[in-house]
Amino acid sequence: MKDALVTTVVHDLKNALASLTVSIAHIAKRTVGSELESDTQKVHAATVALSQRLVSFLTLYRSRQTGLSAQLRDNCPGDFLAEVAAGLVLPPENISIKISIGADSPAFWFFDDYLVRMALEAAVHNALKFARSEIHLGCGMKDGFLVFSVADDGPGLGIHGEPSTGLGTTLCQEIARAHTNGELVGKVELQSGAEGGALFELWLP
Amino acid sequence: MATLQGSRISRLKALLIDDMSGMRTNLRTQLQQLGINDVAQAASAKDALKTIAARASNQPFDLVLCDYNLGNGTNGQQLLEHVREKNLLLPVTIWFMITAESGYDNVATASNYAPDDYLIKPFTAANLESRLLRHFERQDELEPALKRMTAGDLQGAAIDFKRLAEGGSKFTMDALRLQARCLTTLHRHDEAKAVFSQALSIRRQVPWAELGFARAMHDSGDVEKAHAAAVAIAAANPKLVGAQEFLAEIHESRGEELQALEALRKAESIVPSASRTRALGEMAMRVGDLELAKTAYAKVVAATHNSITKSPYDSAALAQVYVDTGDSAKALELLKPAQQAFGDDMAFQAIAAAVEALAYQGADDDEAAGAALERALSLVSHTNPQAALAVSKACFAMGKDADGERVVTAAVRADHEDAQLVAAAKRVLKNAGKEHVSERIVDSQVRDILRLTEQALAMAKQAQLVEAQTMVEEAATGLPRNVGVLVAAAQINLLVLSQQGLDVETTARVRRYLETLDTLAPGTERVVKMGAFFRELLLKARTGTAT
Repeated sequence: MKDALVTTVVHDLKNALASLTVSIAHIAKRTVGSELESDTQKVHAATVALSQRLVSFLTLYRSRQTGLSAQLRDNCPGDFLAEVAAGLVLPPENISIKISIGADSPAFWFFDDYLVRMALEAAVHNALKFARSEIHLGCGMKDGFLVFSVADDGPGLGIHGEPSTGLGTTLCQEIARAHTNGELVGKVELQSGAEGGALFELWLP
Repeated sequence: MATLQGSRISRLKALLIDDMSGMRTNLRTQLQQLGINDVAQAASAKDALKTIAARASNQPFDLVLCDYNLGNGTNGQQLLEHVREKNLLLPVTIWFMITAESGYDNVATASNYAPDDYLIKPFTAANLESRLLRHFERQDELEPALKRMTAGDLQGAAIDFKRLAEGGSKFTMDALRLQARCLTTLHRHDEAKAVFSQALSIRRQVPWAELGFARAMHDSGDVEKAHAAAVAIAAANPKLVGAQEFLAEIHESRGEELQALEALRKAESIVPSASRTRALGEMAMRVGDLELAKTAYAKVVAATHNSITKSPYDSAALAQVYVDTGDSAKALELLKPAQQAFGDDMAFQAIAAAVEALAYQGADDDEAAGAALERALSLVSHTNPQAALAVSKACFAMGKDADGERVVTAAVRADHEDAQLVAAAKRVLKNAGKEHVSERIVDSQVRDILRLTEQALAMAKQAQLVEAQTMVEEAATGLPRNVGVLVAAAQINLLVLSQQGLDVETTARVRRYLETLDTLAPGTERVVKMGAFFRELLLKARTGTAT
């Protein structure tokens, strides 16, 4: 009962925040070039991040209650990655961070674009805390899996430490596990990048 | 390119459907951010239908953003199915379904009418823009083949889709799905099976391909395997409404009415709609579950009251249930306004008069019952076979057996190839305790017409064209909506044209037969083939190469 109350409240907050985000996005667009631009961008990015966290919480909660089921459909991974990158709303303090993308993937693959987007946004959100100048979003094939990756050029995994709540990592793991193909199950891997920094990978069968 | 696509987006005429005014405001703002300013709004399914109708001939909508949950027991999927079934929007109108993340699993169901895409709340204007761009790209790539498909050139469209799939397009799965749909409509079931298999070899457990493969097995006669597959698909995909509907069809075709009823009940619970509840009511009537039939029809009548989906046939069916449960007064009360409102619908008037007769009989008013039955009988010749069967039922119940048999005979002869009609005719006789005449007035009629058409075709093959033509013409005049007779008539007249050259009268006759067949049996292989042959003959004649 308590849990139900919490989710109802979070759900309402999420809806209210969504309305607020739409209004702020509208204002942000109109303040481009004015002295208010930086402030409104900051508020916009903050509401988007908060909104994403509430949705992450609700998704994780649903996953614990009834299991998370992925609605698999054919998506073009390259296009999808470009959409995710284009949809990112970075706060002004991170505006200097370059978001690059590179895709070497098949024309289409089956995954739940809504859930995978949520996972990648969470991974980018985490990478932003550590990246010095660049975050690279990639996708390619490994061992018959489609692998989405988020690499930062920060100090590397050992220094990253645990995220404050672990919400993002747990969510990504649940999303990966919801993706199955016969016996194959999706997974998340976190490791140090070949050239330093941290590398997040989401493996989808 | 981005600018071109941007202006393509800003030119869209949009309709927002959401029962929450705050959400509509947000959506409007987001559309404005994309430059879309022609935005209409609707707060309910009913409002949406009115708005769509008002703009249908002038500035029809290009884009619909519809919330799944519309309150008052209706949802966006029901509205979408209704709109697509009745062709209230252009086929190219984009329909995006909006859903809360908590309800996402529930809405992603495969039915005959799926939205073009889903948007999960909260989403940004950028998300919406990228979905639109993705849709345009898909539409552009598939458009030439889709145009062929819409124009009825299914064979050509299937080839185009095949080419797209072979080219490794990112829309390969769409191309395969559409190729299989063309082949299925053309009754080329083995080829359709191969295409579904191809899709399943790319990815196991793609619900539409699994269901399509099972359907193709069923349509090519492998009913047992199709049934086993349908059961497995339904178990693995409990929200797949199409799987339940397919199971219901299989059970019905095998005479397993109770199982069909169960599948229809499940389908109706997944995505309720007037047509599904109606199908449930019909099957409940058939198995004699009058309470369920009453509940179902009452639900349809209430749900469609004051709506454009209102059908007097639902009132007639509910009135029949009232008669069967001994509530004649209620039946008469329900029929009266419908009879007044739908005065020019002859089929309904015939059914209503037949039910009215039974209601008066139940109320021991023999005089009124007799008058109503006379009225029903006088309307039979102006109506369809289904309505005629309803009249025959009343005839048998009131002891007018000769009239009943005459009406059943005429109904079966009207379209002897319609398996559902023939089964319904047999049911009427069985329920009236007249199974013993079934052979004489159903089966022998079917055989008679089959013999006649076969004889005419055989004569034509033996070069007795004039005799064959006369014979089949007579049959077609007497049975103007009998698919089998019309096919034979078109075939024989096409033979005359190809052997003796074009003449105005025969050409006009063929054209008339094919047009009627296009409405009675659209897309069937033999009709499509005859249409193509006819066009070829006309073309040859125009280019002077006619024989």
